[in-house]
Amino acid sequence: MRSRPYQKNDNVRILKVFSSIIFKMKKILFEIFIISFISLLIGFSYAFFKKIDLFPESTEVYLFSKKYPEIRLLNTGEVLKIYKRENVLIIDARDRISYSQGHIKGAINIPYDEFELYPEFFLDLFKNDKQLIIYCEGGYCEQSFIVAERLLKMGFKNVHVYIDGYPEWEKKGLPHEKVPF
Amino acid sequence: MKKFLFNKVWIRILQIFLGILFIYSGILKILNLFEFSLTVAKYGILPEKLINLFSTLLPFFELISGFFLLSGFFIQGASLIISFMLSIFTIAIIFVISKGASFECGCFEIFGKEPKTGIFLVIRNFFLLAFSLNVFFYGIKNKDCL
Repeated sequence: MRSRPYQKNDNVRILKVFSSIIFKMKKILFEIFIISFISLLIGFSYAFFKKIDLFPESTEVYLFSKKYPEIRLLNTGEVLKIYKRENVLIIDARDRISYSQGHIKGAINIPYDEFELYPEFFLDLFKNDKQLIIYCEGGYCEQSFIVAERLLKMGFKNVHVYIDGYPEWEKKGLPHEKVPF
Repeated sequence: MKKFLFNKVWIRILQIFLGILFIYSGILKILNLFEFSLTVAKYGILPEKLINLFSTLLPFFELISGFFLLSGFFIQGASLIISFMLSIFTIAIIFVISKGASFECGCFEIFGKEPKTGIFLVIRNFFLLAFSLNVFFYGIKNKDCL
């Protein structure tokens, strides 16, 4: 098969196509730049006026304390100081299997999903004068907050969440136990 | 098929649909910013230090891109940014599914309920991605596009 002989204006045509591609790319990049600039400008302004900490020391503590401002957060040291007192009730908000595999010594198990559905079943366990400390898996686990928020709505006042959760407690070799499931 | 995909009316419908969707999604996230940040953290993809920065700025990219798409200005840039965001969301959801986890996706509520991460979301995102790329390539092909 013989190819078409080279013509003088082929170069011009290639150059035209090439410049049109460059022009389109430049146009798209310009649009992306404008949209990104406006988004960043409004985003940073919003963060500034709403006083949002974009680089908090502990993202986990910052976000939970912003989402649940009425719940007091405790770290391992703070829980350790008070957990042996008589007027403290430790609540494990995880499921029954996780609880049976290991929990803080003396903690009772109130799975968050069961508590959400049937809070009245667990009411006998609490007394208003007791300090309630709720925990789950730590990290971004929200189960303890769900239980704590419900307890606050039910009128309990001394509600705290142990933010580090069970893994940290166990890692530090603090009193824990297992029960057969 | 090609004629239908590059039909001006079809493209305008997609622009309006995607524009409204992303404006709605952006506003919902801005209104529940800390809840969205917690969802982003649960994905476990971003480094701890970047979670708040990312989750504060992302809703504004959705909002502004959606606005431009709806208005008909800069539709190529807006559709390309939306395509990029949808690709990232889809990869993140696939990553979560591969880990065997499932939680509320942090995307947007449908009929007052936020869907959980799962294969349904991946399929939905593929459709949205196809729509936004459709708008983008229409812009490449047509000179009359703003």
